[in-house]
Amino acid sequence: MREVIENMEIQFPGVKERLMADGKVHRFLNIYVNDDDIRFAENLDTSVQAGDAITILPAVAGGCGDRLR
Amino acid sequence: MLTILSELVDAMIQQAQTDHPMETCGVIAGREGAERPMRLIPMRNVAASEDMFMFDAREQLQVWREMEANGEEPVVIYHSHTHSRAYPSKDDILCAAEPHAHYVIIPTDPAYGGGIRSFRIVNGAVVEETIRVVEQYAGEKSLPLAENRSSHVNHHPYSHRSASTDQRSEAH
Ligand SMILES: [Zn+2]
Repeated sequence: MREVIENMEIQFPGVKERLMADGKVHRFLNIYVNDDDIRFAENLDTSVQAGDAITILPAVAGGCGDRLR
Repeated sequence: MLTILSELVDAMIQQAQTDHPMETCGVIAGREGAERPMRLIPMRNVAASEDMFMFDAREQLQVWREMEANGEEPVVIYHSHTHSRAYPSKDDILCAAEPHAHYVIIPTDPAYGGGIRSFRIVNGAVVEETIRVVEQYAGEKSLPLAENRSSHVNHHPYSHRSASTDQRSEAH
């Protein structure tokens, strides 16, 4: 997955910082390889095969306070 | 302004009251670009908390794929506040990633009173908007020339709330 993001950065400069910081995926972003959230696989080390579908969605969260920071 | 069917408002309030004191959450899908909330999808709150909500990432993927396949988008993203006012919290603002969505908050603690409220949240700026509750959307059924659309407005107490652009005075 890390390589995919590096390749995207070459094609779309600036995309990397929208997706990650300090070598980690932003906290409120979900990245899926096929049906699986990479958080529950091997995160950015999750392997991606030709033909796999990658989906990036902003996490939907909130509440009545400020616990998430 | 958010224009929304009364049955959808009732469903959100019902869900919030059922889940009280836990926060509830969900999304209402509508045809892309049409600005009409149509299909209410209650979401699981994986935070299962009285002061937090979070969509289940896997469930969200399924629902977002469904919307994409149907040519829909998330028109409304809603959640309840079970012991605070219906105003976006710091967390709500931090996480609001859909600049086109209407963020609806349902208060369930009578001590804070009031009805549902709707907000646009873009780049950390909160703008409240009026909610117009209707029995049906204009043009859905043939109306006799529809010259008097106000007759289709449900005079609910929260349907005439005025818009506010004040983001500081109400922040908590
Ligand atoms: Zn909230």
